Amino acid sequence: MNIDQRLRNDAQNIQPVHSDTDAHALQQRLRVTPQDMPTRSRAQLWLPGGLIAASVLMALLWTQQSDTSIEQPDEAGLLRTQTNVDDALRPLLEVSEAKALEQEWAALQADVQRVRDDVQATLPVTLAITR
Amino acid sequence: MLTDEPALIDAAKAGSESAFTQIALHYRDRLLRFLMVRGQSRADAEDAAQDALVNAWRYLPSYDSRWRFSTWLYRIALRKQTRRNTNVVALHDAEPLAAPAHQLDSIERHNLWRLAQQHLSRDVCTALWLKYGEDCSIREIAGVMGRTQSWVKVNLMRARNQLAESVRE
Repeated sequence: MNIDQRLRNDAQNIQPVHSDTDAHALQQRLRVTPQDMPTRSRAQLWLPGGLIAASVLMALLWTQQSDTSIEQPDEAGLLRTQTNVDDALRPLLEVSEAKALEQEWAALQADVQRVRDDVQATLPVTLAITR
Repeated sequence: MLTDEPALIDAAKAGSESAFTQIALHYRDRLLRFLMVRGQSRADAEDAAQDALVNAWRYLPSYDSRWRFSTWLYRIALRKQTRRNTNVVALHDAEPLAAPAHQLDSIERHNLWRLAQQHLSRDVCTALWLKYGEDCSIREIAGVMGRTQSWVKVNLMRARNQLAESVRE
């Protein structure tokens, strides 16, 4: 057998062995890390927190309303409660939104920087491959 | 090549992790062999392969499908490894690998690639692997390694001669 054939045959005999754990680890690492998470995903993280806060607030206001007014709220009472909730939530939502926007902006800036770095890192590769 | 590779790559480019995982699992073994032949221990090769695949996932939008995916992947792995090595110690391309025993253990004793690791420089060994292990063209090898086609041709010829001589000894 000549060198060419031996190199080809022996190349096939180098068999890396993997366990299921390795495959699992790979899949885990391919999962998007918080750093790589797109901006919109980060924004979505705010939603559960906001909903919880709103629910708590609504429950508190409902209790207060029930204590100070009639036992069975009529339509007007419900509307008033809704208005109270809206009024109470507004500043909270504004703060939350401003905070979210601030976070978004920081994340966007970080993303832009990362894209810049990535482009700088991959450009030579791309150029070399497409040459 | 993976049966529906272009479709999988398109899906992965659109953000499908499962599509990319299929691609990654398909290429992982080849990537590992490539890195092991470059003189890495199995553990280091596995780490480097994982890094290369994660980077491939990140940089996938820049992948040009006119080129083989494997070629692109090897280039990423090579760049990553070179960068890591230059951070530790300057590369002496002309010197043979002279890999420590634990690195050579990753390839069987009678395998000709073990001899190649011992007698050839890391880059020449890599070019040889791309030629015989991956059936890459001279142009592709030059592209992956960032070398000229002449460099690839000359060094492949020298490597074959050197290995033939070593086998005769």
